[in-house]
Amino acid sequence: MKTMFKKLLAAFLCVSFLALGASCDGKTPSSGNKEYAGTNIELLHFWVDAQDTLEEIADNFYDETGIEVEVVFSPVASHLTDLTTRIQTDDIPEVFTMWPGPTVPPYIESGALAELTDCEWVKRVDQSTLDQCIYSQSGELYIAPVNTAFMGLAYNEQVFARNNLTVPKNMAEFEQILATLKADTQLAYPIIMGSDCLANYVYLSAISNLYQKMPDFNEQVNAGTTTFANEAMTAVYEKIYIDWAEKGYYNYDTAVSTDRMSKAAIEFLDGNAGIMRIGGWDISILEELNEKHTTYKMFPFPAEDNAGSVLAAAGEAFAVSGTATGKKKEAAMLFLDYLMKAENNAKICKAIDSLSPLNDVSVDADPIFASLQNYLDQPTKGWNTWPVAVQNKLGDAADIFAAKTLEAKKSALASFLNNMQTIWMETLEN
Amino acid sequence: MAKHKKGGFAAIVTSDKFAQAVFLFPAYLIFTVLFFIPVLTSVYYSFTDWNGITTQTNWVWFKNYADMFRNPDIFSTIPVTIYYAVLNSVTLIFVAFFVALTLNRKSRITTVLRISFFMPMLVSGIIVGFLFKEFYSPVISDGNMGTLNRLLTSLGLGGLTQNWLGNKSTVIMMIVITGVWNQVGQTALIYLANMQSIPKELYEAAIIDGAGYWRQTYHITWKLISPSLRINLILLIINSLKTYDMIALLTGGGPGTASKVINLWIVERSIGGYEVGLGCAMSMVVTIFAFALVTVTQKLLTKRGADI
Amino acid sequence: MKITGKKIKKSAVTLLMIPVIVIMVFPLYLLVTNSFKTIREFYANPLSLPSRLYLDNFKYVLEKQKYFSLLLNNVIIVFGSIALLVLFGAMAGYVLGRSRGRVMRILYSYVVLGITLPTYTMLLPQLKLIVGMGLKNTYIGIILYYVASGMPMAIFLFNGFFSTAPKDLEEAAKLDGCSLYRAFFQIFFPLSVATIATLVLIQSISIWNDTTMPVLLLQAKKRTLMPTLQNFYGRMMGQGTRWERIYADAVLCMLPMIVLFFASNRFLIQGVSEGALKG
Repeated sequence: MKTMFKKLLAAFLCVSFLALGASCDGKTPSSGNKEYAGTNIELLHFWVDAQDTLEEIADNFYDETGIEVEVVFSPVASHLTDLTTRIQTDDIPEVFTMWPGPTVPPYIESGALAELTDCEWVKRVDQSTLDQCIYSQSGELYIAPVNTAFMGLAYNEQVFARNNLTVPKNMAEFEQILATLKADTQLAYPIIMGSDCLANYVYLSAISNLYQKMPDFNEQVNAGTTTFANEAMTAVYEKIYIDWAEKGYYNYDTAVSTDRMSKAAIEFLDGNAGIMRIGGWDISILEELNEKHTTYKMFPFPAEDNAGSVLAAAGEAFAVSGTATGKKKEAAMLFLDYLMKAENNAKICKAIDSLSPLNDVSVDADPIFASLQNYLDQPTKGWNTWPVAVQNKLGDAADIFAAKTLEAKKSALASFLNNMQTIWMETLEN
Repeated sequence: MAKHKKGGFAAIVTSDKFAQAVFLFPAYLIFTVLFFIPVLTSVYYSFTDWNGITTQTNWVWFKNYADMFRNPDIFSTIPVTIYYAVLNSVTLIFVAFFVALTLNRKSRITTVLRISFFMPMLVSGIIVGFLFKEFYSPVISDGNMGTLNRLLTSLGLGGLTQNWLGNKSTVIMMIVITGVWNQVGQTALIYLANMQSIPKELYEAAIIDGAGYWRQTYHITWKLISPSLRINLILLIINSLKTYDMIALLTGGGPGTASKVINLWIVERSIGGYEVGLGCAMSMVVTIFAFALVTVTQKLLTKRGADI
Repeated sequence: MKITGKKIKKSAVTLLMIPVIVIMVFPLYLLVTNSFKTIREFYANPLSLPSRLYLDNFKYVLEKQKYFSLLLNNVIIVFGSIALLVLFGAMAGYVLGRSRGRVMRILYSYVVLGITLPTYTMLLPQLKLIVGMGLKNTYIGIILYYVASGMPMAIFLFNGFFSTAPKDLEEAAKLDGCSLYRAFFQIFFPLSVATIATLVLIQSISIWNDTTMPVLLLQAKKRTLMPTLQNFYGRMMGQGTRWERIYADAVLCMLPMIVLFFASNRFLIQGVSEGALKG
């Protein structure tokens, strides 16, 4: 017992010394005569790739104003929990990142967000992105859009060259490409699926196929003139969930698992698959894994009769604490203005491989996705405009794979689509 | 003492009643403030429509409880929770018993055995999740598959490979196996402590009567470990109902809702769905259920002749 | 003849145990070996030993965080919570275990019923209280939280032990004119080493491994080691997760605890198993 205690004490002391050594670095204020000197605020963000960029911006801001900004990273997985509990305990970070979407209204209601309607930068935001960020009837703005998110299909240039393939101009050409790649014996699959890809896949095809045939799909379902299980929708699902799976075009049995992204990326980068569905946010992950310097580019998911379109949704946004007061509040608003400056927004968008919603910013887009900018479409289409309860059930489509026979798959599909229709109608009633 | 006949300060301080109060005070103060009051608060929330962030809430009486029973999603979680809790507790109760038996025998490898059984319990639920998620992961291509599938392939059992966590018929089994690996040490440890308190004379008498090892195990060891069996059963039932981290990381409740236990649902509703009131109501029901289960277990074990 | 038969049987059992040991240790083998591999080597064969001593994962993980300062936080929080929990738990458990009566039984059930409550139920109210008391981002706030959460288990175990401790000990103490304080600190508390060991073992593991509270209650600089794991999820769990880095961080997070575990093996495991826990 005694020797053990001594051992523990020794270990404890060692650790204490090391810790002291490790914690001896502080910031020395360089400009002490500014109005806001001594004010410090916190920026809580979820971009693992942008920590350095944000710290650099915060340093520049400090030099200009004397306001110290602590840049705190909170991983995507726990960001919402983190933020929600901090709001509940009246400890809201002065500036923080959010996703536009169903989380915003309860935040506004609770007074956690400061109103930003009169900010100078609002005039510079692209109108359709701005529309997605407004959650009240009277048009007040509470979140500041930072970037536009997009998705598309990445293709391996070497694999395409080997098979004499070019970017498809419509769905027929795309299916021809898949058939050709299926015949290429060096590949495991023509398309490889990472995580949560099937919902995203339908998201891509919904905008490309469904909305081109039926631009007012949402309104029609609401009015009862069509159902969720309409012909166009059934065709989209049948093609992706049954036809292509039967033909072995992709790893359908593992596509529904949730941790495939880096594995799929390695398969794609190492030339075992010709195509992979990615979003802009995946590019940094791919680049880090791309040891063999495989070259790849992106094209949009093709529609029936054209090369398709890319949904440019409002990606992520900044918000300012609604409960901050006095100098902290002013400092937070100043910092938000600083973040929304063209040069700083461009830096952030570059760091997170995204496009900017600000009219005066042109992001030095990576050649991998630069061509997608030609296909940008109205962001008011796609599954992110469907009722939240319907969105939450998208994953149930995985049941179609579990069915053994073609007949069973078709009936699983039918009951899935009918269920979605029922849920949609239920949300309308409430 | 004599100086303070009428109970002066020192007499009060040294009196047994006062000393008892002094001993109880810190524990009960901390517990009441940071545990009991929060429990009352969440009972209160279960009668409101609080969404978790707004400042104003409405008292809705039993609406949350009624909603719960009308919600079809919740009924799918009940059989999953019970199946998991029962399978997990029963497996561990027996596996850990045999582990404790083995550890109780003196042999050359006892130390190695102890270390190998007690090490896994140091591993946190989150690391267990990371470790086994990759371990069970499916075959993507010939060169890219999960560890278990790789192991099967290299043993020439390639036909058995499958998506262990993505298959509705295997997913709960895999979660239970993971839990057994993680918790068997702790359960066995409690058995072991009990086994070592069984008087040696009982075994010696049995040997003289000509009883073999298994007869001794059944008639003496198994019959005399009631106290630790009781602790283990209660802890296992409660822990199985409480499990969150590991399942959330391994499957997130999937595929579909095949492994969605009630706790996953509660957290999802209260944090992601902004229905703290409903989440609290659900937690209350789980608590009452756990309490009932523990009471029944206690009663049954008392019948078995456990000396409490 | 009989002796050799017994010997053969004994070695047979030993031999049988070897695959069991392998199964128990195998996941940890995977954790450690794969933390020394590149991601491609890991996917290509997760079962093999690393082909060379590849330390980049550890380098990456250590560059991303101040490991030793987080470790110090961990040590302060774990030691602080355990010390208070053992002391207060033993004191209350002693009184409850040594006295009879309705009040004591009610007091006992009041705390021990806490074992059945799912932790997530009270998370928000608990947070609100701790923040309301101005204890956010302090060691004492999180320590008190762990003491409160561990109290039902502590009282359950100590009550079990003290209620079965021999009665004559107390009577002897009374005859000597010992006050309750001296009887407890000089006789009973030292006697309960096995129960203390059990409690320390169970609670220090769960506090060391907690990833929820440190994130919600402490700012990055004051957090413990375990929550750092989520920094290596990638964008999200499963979206580009770098398993080899997570494993390296997991090894680093667990290492101090395993060292402590081995250093105190005699005290903890032996203490628990030889001191005979009674419930």
